[in-house]
Amino acid sequence: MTVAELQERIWTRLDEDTATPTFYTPAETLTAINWAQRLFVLLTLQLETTAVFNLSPGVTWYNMLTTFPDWIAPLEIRVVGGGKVRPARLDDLDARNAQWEAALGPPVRYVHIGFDTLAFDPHAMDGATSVSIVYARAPAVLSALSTPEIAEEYHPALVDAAIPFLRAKEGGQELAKSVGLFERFLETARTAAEFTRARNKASRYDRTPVELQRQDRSRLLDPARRGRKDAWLLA
Amino acid sequence: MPVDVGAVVDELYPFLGSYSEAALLAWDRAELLRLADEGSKRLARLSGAFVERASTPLAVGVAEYDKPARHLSTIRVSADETALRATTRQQLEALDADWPAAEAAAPTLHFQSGPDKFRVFPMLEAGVSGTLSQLFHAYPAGVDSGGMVAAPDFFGDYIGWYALSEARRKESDGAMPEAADFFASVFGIFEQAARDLWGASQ
Repeated sequence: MTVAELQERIWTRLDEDTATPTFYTPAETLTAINWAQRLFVLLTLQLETTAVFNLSPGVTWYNMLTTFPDWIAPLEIRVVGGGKVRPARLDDLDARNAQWEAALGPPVRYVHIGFDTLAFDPHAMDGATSVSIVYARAPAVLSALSTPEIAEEYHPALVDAAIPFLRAKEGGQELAKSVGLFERFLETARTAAEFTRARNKASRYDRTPVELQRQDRSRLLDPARRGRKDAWLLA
Repeated sequence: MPVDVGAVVDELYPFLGSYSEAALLAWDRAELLRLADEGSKRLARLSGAFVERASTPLAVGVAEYDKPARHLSTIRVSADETALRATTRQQLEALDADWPAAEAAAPTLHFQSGPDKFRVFPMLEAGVSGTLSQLFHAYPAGVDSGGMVAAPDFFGDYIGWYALSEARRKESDGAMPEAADFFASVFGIFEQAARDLWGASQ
């Protein structure tokens, strides 16, 4: 489904003129779809990329967003022509060797901290060391002519999330009527994340998606609807 | 790509019922930028998303050093690529009765010394030099001025939802507590995911 098709479906559900939308403009509808897709990908880690990353001699710390602007988190790192680089915690590296930052050789372990800080232990001694990184990535920003990158079967979830984003400016009953759609979006994201989690475990990846079933979503309910479940929306 | 905070805020106008800054009902761009800035600090505090590194020369006979600007919490301190272990004043008292005056070729321990300083033990002795490095959680700079922030696109979405929530909570003709609650719920979901992915900073 293209963005144009998604926009048309959203406008149809909102009783907007699909030929000349005025109350929900194409630009704000596109923003809402972009928000929806990025949140979906963050919650599911559904998109991944494999890329070769050249290590610089004498450099231990890297900011991966500089090289990979769509970086979310590493899933697997291997030395090109060598073995797997295992994930570790900073405390583990310090406990093994307080001077690990100065150690030279092919990387054996890595640490990921924050959005994109990555450290390798040991670090490369020459410019010939490269690692192959599989990383969870963010989707490209959508334009009116593009197609969302998440799997097509989840495209309707973007409609579910975009409608309450758009109705928020109306507030009151109009927003309340659509909040259930956002719950359905989250439920869809939960099932997609479970699917990705199973896939990542089978691939022996270092990272799995957020466990949505452990999250407190109780605040999501509109105060007027708190305590009442619209079960049909969660189906 | 770094997040252009100014562009993020400009995209919020339609969700506040306006198509330009001039037509905003109860807010202006500077106010929305301040709200986005509050959101960025909240995210930085609740998650360990923003990590920075800073280095400073070790000085002979100096034990106390400033924490870097925008510091939230220390992850690691090292001297010349050797990790310093975290300690407390109580442990130092037990280790050496005259610990404030102790000097050596390199420090081995560090501890917090008030909100904006930290100390190393022992101090560097005369004739030796070194570099002190810190890895720390920080909050991003430049959000309130609408600048660029080195962060994924998700960060722009988060501060946008935070600003929308707080804007709708403001006592004004544009107040919509239900919309404020909705956006608070959305950025709350993001915060839970952020803590899971990037840990906590405080």
